[in-house]
Amino acid sequence: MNIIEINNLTFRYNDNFIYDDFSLNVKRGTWVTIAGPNGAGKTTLVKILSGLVKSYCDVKIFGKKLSRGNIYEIRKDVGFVFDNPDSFFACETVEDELAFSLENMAVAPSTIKRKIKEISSLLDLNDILKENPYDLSGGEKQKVALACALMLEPRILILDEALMMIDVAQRNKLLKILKEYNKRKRVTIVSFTHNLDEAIYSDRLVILNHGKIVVDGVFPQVFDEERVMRKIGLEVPFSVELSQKLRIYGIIDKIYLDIERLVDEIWK
Amino acid sequence: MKSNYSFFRYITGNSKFHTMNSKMKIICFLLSIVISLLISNYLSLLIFSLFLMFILIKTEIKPKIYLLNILILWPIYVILFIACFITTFDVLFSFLLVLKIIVIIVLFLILTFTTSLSEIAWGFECLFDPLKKLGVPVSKISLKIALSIKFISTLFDKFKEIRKSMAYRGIPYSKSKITTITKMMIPVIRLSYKLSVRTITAMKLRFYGYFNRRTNYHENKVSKFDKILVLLYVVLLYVVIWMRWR
Repeated sequence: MNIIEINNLTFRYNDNFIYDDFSLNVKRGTWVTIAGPNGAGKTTLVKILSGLVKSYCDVKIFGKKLSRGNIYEIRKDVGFVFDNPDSFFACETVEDELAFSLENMAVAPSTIKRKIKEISSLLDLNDILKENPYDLSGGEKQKVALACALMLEPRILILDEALMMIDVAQRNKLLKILKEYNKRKRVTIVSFTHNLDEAIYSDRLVILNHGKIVVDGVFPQVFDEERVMRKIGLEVPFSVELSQKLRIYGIIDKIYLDIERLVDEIWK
Repeated sequence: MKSNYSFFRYITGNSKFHTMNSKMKIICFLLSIVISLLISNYLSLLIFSLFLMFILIKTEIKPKIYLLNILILWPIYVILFIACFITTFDVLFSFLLVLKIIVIIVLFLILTFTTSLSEIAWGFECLFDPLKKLGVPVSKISLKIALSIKFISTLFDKFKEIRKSMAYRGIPYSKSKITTITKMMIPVIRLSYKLSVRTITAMKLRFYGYFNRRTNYHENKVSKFDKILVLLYVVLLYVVIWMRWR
């Protein structure tokens, strides 16, 4: 069942068409990574999905057509994390920040407390709950923004370059947490990024260039289109690149996304 | 990055003032504003200032932070003093007026240093709750007040950012020259517009104003300290009124 349906999307800034007759469907419970170089139209698509910009197309989320009348109803079940968390914050402590959306939705204080405890433990935020979000590092800010989105217990989580400022070790840890969250709660994740390393836990990879889908496939077969990715300026993950070379020499027989598994395979 | 100029920004702490009930704190704040407006002589100002000193100690925030934040607004005091002196030709009255303004700024600093914005909003909301029956959108208004206060501190931070970025580009900054401040005006106005647009977007995405009711998850209960403080403010108000019209 498709949870997001975009049919014949047309969008332009002045006379410049960003999307022209673009269509995309996302199945429920999957993790889809939408990658592309700068100017591919990723953030525009996030804005269209969040209803922040109007477009001439048929966008359906949860089977409901996105319109001014039902935008809040739809947003209640969609968590957004943007690349610039600073513009998302409204409160002066991380704790207040986590509670803010739920307070606006008139959720009972006891429920908010329980959720703050749960999410802050999940994302390891307990030590910074009393800190001002503006005083945190870039990575911590993005973690707080992600936590704010998870507080809503969304059915869809939309990440727009949401892990960009987080260091590699922390990012891998977060990706694993998100994968588990995706499996356990059947949450659909749509991640927009230019870094293909972030796509290793996804079920499907869609590559955009100038508003068109140039690659669309499941892992790891999608990396057969490696040349297209390189041509538009995307860097293939190191594990994939190494796997491909080792496969040529007959050392391994398939592409590995996880570097640890690849090392284990070579070691055998 | 923390700075001593925490202009209108919440400073985390566990003092009695930090844990005060939001509604009682707003009552105290409004009473103290009324008191400072009613002050008409140096004696009542001295009494109120001594009381404020006691509160400042109770907030457990370094006095240096208050001092730096008061001093940074020195051009306002100078302009106000000159304007008042030109209209009244009374040095003592002009000086009293400036001191009253400083007291009001201290009150705002105490409130914003010890109360997070959501608590300020909640305090106002609880206080003006009866107005809801008349159809006044109290929740929206109180959150707007809180966000406006937040906007001042954000704008202040942006002002510092612009000053630094200008310095990197080789434009010298001198505090004493008005021309350097005028050079910064256009970027500050542009940034403040951009910031307000961003804030609106963030608020939309976070359901602000969509539901008629809001909740507050960390409402502190009214303690004995809160009640005594309100009582002290009422007594002080009576003293100031008595000294004004005796």
